[in-house]
Amino acid sequence: MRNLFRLTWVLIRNARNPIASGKRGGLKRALFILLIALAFLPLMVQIGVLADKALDALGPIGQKGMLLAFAFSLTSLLILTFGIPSVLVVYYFGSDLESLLVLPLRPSVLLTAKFFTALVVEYAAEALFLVPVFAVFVMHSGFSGPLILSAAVIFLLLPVIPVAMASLLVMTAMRFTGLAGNRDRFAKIAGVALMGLVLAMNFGLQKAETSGIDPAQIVAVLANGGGIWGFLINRLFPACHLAVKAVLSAGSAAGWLNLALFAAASAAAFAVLLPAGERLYIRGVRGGGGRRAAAAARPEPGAFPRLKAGSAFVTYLDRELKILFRDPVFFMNCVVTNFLWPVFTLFVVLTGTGSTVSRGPGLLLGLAGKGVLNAGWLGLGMVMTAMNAVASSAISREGRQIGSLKILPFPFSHQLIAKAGAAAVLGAIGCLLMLAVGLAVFGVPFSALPAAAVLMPLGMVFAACTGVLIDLFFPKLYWDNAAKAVKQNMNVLMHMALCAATAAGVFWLVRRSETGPEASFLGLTAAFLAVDAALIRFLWTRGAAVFSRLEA
Amino acid sequence: MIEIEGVSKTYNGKVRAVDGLTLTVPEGGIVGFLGPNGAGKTTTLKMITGILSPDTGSIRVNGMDIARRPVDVKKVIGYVPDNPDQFLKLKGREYLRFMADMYGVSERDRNERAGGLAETFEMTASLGETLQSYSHGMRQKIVLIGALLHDPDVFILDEPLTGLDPKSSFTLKENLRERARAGRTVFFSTHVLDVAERLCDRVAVIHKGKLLFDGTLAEMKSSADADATLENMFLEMTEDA
Repeated sequence: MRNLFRLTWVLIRNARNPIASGKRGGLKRALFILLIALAFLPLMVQIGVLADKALDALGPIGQKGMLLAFAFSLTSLLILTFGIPSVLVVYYFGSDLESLLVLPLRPSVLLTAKFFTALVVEYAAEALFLVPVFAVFVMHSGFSGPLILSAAVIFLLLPVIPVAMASLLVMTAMRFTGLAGNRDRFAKIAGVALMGLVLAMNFGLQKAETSGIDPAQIVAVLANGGGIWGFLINRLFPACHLAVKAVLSAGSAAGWLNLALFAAASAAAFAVLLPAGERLYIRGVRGGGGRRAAAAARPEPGAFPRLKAGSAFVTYLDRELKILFRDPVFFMNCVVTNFLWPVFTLFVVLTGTGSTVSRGPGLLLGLAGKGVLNAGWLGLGMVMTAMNAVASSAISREGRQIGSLKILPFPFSHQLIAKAGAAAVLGAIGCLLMLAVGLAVFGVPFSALPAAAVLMPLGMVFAACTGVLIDLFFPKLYWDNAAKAVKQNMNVLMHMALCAATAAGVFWLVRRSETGPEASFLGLTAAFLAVDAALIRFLWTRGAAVFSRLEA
Repeated sequence: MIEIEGVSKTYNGKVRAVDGLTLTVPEGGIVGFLGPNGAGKTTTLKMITGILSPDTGSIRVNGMDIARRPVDVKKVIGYVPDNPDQFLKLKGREYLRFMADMYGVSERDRNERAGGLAETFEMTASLGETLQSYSHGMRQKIVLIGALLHDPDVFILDEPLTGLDPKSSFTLKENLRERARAGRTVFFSTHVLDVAERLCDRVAVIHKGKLLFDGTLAEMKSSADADATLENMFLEMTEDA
């Protein structure tokens, strides 16, 4: 048991964000958690408001349990869904696997420690949905010790069944399919699917809020078991009804009994996982170790592939883009983002309320012939290029292998420009898609396109150069997980803030000065040609000098 | 030829990894760089290749100062690092093409050399896979091929035999001998004293950042017992220091 606790503790600590390591780690961790909490607060408030309105409607007819049943089942489904990639990372894709397999530990200890680690990861997602519901429920039912205790126990136990289910699903898939050999592809597909799910949820909530909530409608939906989805998830997680009864009759003998039964159901799920996991997981990963050998032994018919000669700059740029597309973390954060915003904008218009739909088309027609539209093009180029995080993580993404670039006889100045070029290429894709959305939906006048063709690239170059410079001066080279180079890299946030502020400042200046379209076009083009030229020169000279001193 | 003069390197202002190192690695021979863990071998090699900058001193490769003409120096160096985990998302053939383009190798030369080396190291069949899927030894071999594509005048290797199978290890040693015979410079670090004894024309021993010995094996033996092995001499030298 001591081994289990020690191993679990080590695994959880290893999974922790390195932002909190080193001196003043506690303070950094607290600030990081606060930042994350603030980011999710609006969503939690939305959920709380919905729960409050539902309880207002259900309370008088004595059906408060409907809300809890729906909340517990839906949370379990979300944990199951979000749990699949998380389980995949914890069980299979961690760099610790080979070190752990050689330890003199029983397979059940390793499996249990991994399970608890996956469970801890899921508590954050659970808190997002369940804490607002519990808070509102306690407010409606009156504060009592047994109720709080029951809610806390249910909070701790609720993810056990969905995480066990996710573990079994993943282990079965990894044991009997070739997915273990294609983990990058699997992670990319799972990431895009999850992003789609999150977007759909977000829009669902937005729509529920903006379309107004009719209490009678809520009662009808919940009384109907939440429709087809409610039916499905109630069937999938029948133990949730025990948890509902435990909360509804908290403090009474029936309440404690139901709580104990819910705990027993969770324990049973884990008891099923343990022997199955030993067969599926341990054998699966030991078998999976042969992946490299299999690659080595895999015959590839044909002779040596001819290596074409090309420009060093283009090859370097191509390497940057290949890595961005092939690494699942970089792909999700640096590539998908370029497609996300145009899709997001389109989705808002297409699924929005009547007023949005009616305002969408032709929204920008009014700006035709106004100077601010030119500021908008410049800003769009800046913001789209900054949001893909390619430039602002250009150096950090290399990590400790930065030395492999320093031995190349390709001048550092050229390398930095190629890195900025990769950001601009991906930023251009985002800009073109946004432009297409603008033309199709917002009524962007075709006459504005020549100005866009000049000003957007100027904005992209500004963002690409400033991003590389920020990351060059404050690189984050020590990481053991690619997510830490991009998602948990403050340079990305700082750069986005800088570009957003610059874009807003330019917009404000042009609007305030009431400059006409020709004057604003000429003024912005001249100003940003000068700024971009200065930035490129700075990157070429000072940037290269800083790059030469980078050590990892 | 590599000329290192009075080079020092300190990490974080505290740990002195290399301390006033002066060493010449002549062309036309194989020089082994020996020393216990943390002696300063990798730091020295990284300074020669331009990955790290020395705090003091100068390094010249074929008469060119790395600080003044870094790109020209890098063009004549082929470097195999101790950790081959680099460019892992590229496929074998993409990596080789990348290296060939970086070093400006002509299309004819790159295909001739890479084809031959891939065949010799039995890597042809794996060139369509990403480096990530390679074993440690395979990564070591692809990095070796990449480092040799431009037929470097100066070949620097950091623990090159780690992870190589016996055949590849033999092939590499033959390659090093051929290069030395052709008047090229070969400088490599190793922990395997037997290899150093059999392969090197000269050895340099470094410990705690300072050079303890620089000379031929015969010179080293002349200063020790007649029956002493390189291992005995090495242990004696590094324990005394």
